Formats: sequence, C-alpha cells, structure tokens
Amino acid sequence: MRTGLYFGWEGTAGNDAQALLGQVLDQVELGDHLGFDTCLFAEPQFEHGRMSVSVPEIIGAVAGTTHGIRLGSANRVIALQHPARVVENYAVLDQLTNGRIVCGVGVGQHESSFAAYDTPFDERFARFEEALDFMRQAWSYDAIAFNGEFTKFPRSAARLEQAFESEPYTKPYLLPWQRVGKPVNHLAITPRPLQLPYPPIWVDVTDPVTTTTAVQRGCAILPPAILSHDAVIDRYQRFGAALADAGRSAEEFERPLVRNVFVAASREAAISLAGEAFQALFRDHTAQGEFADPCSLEYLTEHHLILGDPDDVFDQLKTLQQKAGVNHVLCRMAPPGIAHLDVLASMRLFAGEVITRLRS
Amino acid sequence: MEFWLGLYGMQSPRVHPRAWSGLYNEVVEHAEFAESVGFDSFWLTEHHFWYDGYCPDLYPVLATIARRTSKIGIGTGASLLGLHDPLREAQQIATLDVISNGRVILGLAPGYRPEEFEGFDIEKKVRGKRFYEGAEVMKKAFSGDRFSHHGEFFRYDDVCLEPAPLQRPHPPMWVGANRSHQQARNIGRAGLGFWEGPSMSIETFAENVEVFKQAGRDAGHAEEDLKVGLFRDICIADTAEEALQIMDEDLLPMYEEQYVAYGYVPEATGNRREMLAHPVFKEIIDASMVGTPAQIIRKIERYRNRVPFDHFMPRIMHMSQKKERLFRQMELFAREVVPYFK
Repeated sequence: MRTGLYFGWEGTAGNDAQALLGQVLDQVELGDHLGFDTCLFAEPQFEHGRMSVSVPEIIGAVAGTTHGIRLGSANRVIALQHPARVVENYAVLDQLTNGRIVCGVGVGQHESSFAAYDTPFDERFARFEEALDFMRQAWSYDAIAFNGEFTKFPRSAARLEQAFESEPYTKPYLLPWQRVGKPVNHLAITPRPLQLPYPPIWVDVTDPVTTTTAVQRGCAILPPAILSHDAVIDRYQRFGAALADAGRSAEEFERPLVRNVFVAASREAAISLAGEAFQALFRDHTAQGEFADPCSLEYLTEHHLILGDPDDVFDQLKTLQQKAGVNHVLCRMAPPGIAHLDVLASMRLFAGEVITRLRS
Repeated sequence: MEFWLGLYGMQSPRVHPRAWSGLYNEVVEHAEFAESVGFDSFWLTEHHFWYDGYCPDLYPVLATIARRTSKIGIGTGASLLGLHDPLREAQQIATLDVISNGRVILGLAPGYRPEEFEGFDIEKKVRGKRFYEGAEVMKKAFSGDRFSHHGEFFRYDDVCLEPAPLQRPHPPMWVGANRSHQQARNIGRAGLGFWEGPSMSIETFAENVEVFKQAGRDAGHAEEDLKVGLFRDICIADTAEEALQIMDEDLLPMYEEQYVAYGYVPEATGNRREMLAHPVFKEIIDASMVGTPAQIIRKIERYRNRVPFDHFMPRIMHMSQKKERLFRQMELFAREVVPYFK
C-alpha cells in the first residue's frame, strides 16, 4: 500500500497565512524526505471558514525542493474555470515537477464557491462532466475544436454539428506564421504534460453519483476524509461493480482514499495531542452542512479517525485496506490545532514504523 | 535604478528545440544565478496555444523560484489579464505573494494575439475595457475586504479574498505599453506603472511617457505612483565583436522566428535576408542594445538623458538556452553596468 499526505484547509480562515503556509511547505518537504508517496491539497473556493489558498502555487513552491513525492489537487472544482486554464495549469505543473502531478478534480459542494464565480450551482454536474471531457480530449489529441454546452474552444467550434473534432490532417502543413490571419478552427494547448497522454485524474466522490462519472471516463476515484470508513467501502463497491459492468476491474486502477490519521507513542498520547483538533474539524464540517453524524470522540474514533500508536494505526489501516480494497492512503495529519512539531513527530513515527510495514 | 532580468517563457522554438521539463528545471537555476549576481527581480512571460509551448501559467513557476531564492523580486511580464478571470488571478497572486514573502511584481497586459481571444471565447475588440475593469477587480480583491463588483464584464457578490497578498495595499502593478498614445493615456489614468516594450524608438518612448504622465497627473495620481520602466534586448560581451556574434546567433534567430510568427510581419516569406530588411525588423533591431558594458551604459544613458525612468529590464534570454553564455552575459551586466546606475 502506498501512503501520502493530505491538506484540507478547514478552519484556517483568520489564521496567519504566512505562518500557516510556511508550516505546510515544511511538512510536505519533510514528507518527501521521509518517503511519503503523494501529497494532495484540497482547493477551497470561497468556502466559509476556509482560506481560499491557491494550490498551484503551493505545489509550485515545493516542486523545486522535493524529488520523489507526487503532488496534486484533491478536489479542484474544474467547473469554475475555463477548462483550457485547467489543462494549461496541470500541464505546467507536470513539467515543473518532472511528471509528478495528480489531477484530483471534483464537482464542488459549496454554493458560495459557485456564487463567487457567478456560475449556476445547479449546472455543476453538467459543467463538471464537460470540463472533464475537455481535459481528456485536449490531452489526447493535438489541435482540437470542442463544441460543448458551456465551452466553445475555439470560439468557431460553435459551427460544428458534433461536440468534438480533432484537426484533420492537411497537406501541406502550415507553419505558424503562415496561419496568421487565417480562421482559427482548431487549437492545441501547450505545453503538453510530461506524463503521457496525461497525468492521472482522480475524481472526488463525496457525492456517490460521481463514481459513475469516473468509471465512464476511466478515472480513479478519491473518497474524501469526511466519509466514514463504511462510506468509503460503499464507494469502492460501487466503483468495482460499475467497472465489472463495463468488463473491467478495479485492479487496473490506483485506489486511493483520504483518512484522518495521527500517530504518537501511545493511543492515549495520540488522542490527547490530536483528538480535540479532529473533533473541531468535524464540528466545522457540521457547521458547513457537510456532516450530520455525532462529533463525540467515541463516535469519531470508531468511524472516522485512525489515531494511536504505530501498531494500532497499522492494524486499522490494514483492516480498511482489506475491506475497501484500497491501495493508497492519504493521511490528513495536520488539522489546525495540532502543533507543527507534533505533526512532524507524527509524520516521522508513521514513516518509520507504519509505511515500511504497509509496503510489504 | 532597479534592474529586472527577463524574460523567460520556457519555449522550445524551432531554432533551439528543447524538452520542456528541462526548461522548467533550468529557469530556476537562472533565477538563483540572477539573485547571486544582484539583479533586483526576475521575470517570466505568458502566451497561450503557441506551437513552442510558451508558458501559459506563470504563478506556479514563480512559486518554485520563490522557494529556491530569498530576496530577488519575481515578476510577470506580462500576465495577460485581458484573457482571464481577475478574481482567480488575484487568488493565485495572493498565495504567491504570501509564500514569496511579498516579492511579487505584477506586470499586466491586455493580450493581443487573435488565437488567444478565439481560444478563450472573448471579444478581442473590447479587450482594453475588459482589461482595466479586471485590474480594478483585482485591486478590490487584494484589499482583503469583502467586496461586490457589478461591471460590464465581471460580476461578483460579497466575496472576500483570503489570504490577501502580503504587500499592502497590493503588489506593484505595471502595464505593458504598446506604441499607441491611447494605451499610454489609459495606463496613466489608471495610475499603474508604465512599462515600455522592446521595439520602440527613443522618440516614441519619450512621447508615450509624456502622454502617460500627463494623463496620470490629470487623473490626480501622485507623481511617485507614475513609474516608468524600459525594456530592451541586450547582447553584452567583453568585446564588440563577441556581442555582435551573440546578436547574430541568438537574438536575430529569435526575432526571425518569433516576431514573424506573432504576425508582426504578415507578408513575411520566411527568407531571412528579406525579413531583416523589413521596416518592422529594422526598428526592433535598432532598439536593441548590443556591445561591451561601456557601450551598453552609454546607450542606457542616452535614453535616461532624454526621459527619466527608474526601472530597466535587460532581456538577455533570447531562447537560445546556451546556459554558459547567458550566465556570462548576466554576470557582465550585473557587475559592470548595474553599479554605474546604482
């Protein structure tokens, strides 16, 4: 099983941004050094109580100071940007990181995000699917014309009867300056990503419906930290069943999930260092209307949190791995309220005593 | 006087083809070197849908540079705000400003290439209005206060950007000028920095600066907010012969390939001799500064005696990717030209 880190930005509003982001960058760099495989960042867009941190710059910052760790967004709301911007951004990041990018994308759960960008919330599923198709087509062909409901790329694509066309082969090939003044019927988006044809796309499955969206497009799914262990198992059952219907198997895919994890010398120490911070996190989810279950420590440790000494944490992850069939766990280890040094200590313990055992 | 080093687009042109990942790795080394020899800032440049992979998203790359350097300014020359959502741009810039410890310098431009407007499905002829409205939205967002904006092109209700940029009230904002007086007047009216492109004669520069300053004063902006920057192509070497050789091997091939491809010379045939004789090229080549440090100093002085300005951007990077030669030019410029003006 692979391991990774996850940063969600819950409850960060009003904090000192410079101190917070500095700690996050340090943690990612240490994670790379310790051998975590992946690090993903949620991309909040004008959500209550959360900083709207711009994740591409966070990834950019650590691109030149880390070497092996894969980096990416966790749930970029691709419906809120021109899809060509999304494609350009991931491609630049993929070049910058020497091919270490994961494109975690999502439908978006927050009306406030859509209101901020003046985009109708009830179109979010349709916009998401169209943007996802755009990404895959822009990266699978050279120059394209995309005639979607929301995106005409380039503008002249509106002339097409079909939704998509790649540039027909013409002879002779026109050099760039020979195209000046000619109608723009197809465009190529450059640079291309380093990973060919494109970086892995992981679809956030907070809403179970999006499991199908992912399967139809051959994408992996990413169950978020807010889901209970049982809900994660449910998402992977849906994923497996939908794939089986299509004559494929979940074994073909990376099967990641995000969990709330904290390791200390003993279970009691882990709970005393991190318990309250995780409880506050779930209270914040409750206040956002994202979470309806109890926030007591008893309930959370049973259904949501993986806290304990290295043996405990290993056992719990191993059980979850067997039940859900996952092969990649991303740990949300640093909610606000846990001291930076305690987070680093938990990362070191996890790397030293859990990662090696999960790999074998 | 401040010296900005530019402009890097991570391009793989036909004259000097390279793998993009190598270019993205190397630009960071160039920035580290620029910092070590004492340049004040380091600039990237943006375009879209271009055959050579011209970098379309500058902020993540500047973030990499920021984390690997400690004091050099990081600039966008220019971010094509006319093509993008200003709130999203503001968000990227704010995070970049925070992680770079307040080192962002924002060069903005409306954009001009037809493919870019076609690609983003934006009317090109309204780009000026769209651009200045975008800049206004950005300033509101940078304030960190809750704001609403109902304009002709953009509409936001009750949003608040957090994190806001570290620099208060916002990072320095410059606008890339073209040869038109209208653009110079608009920049002055908006009270933003005026940044002259690489290809205009000293007379055009002087006229435009006058128009810019007058418009700025008329709009009530303070004299110290009306900053002027000059951007010139540089080939610098120990001897004049070497400098000419650099011009011949690096600068002219770039002009040949890029300016023709941009459509500056629509009737171009691809024949080098014909192209270099074209009036557009003549003006660009005349504006470039080629020579020994002493010669370059005299050329900059000539401009400064005609029009006072306090920011100078040498473009040493001409896409040739010859690292040793570029580093040597940076070093010569930083050690022998910069001290004269400081």
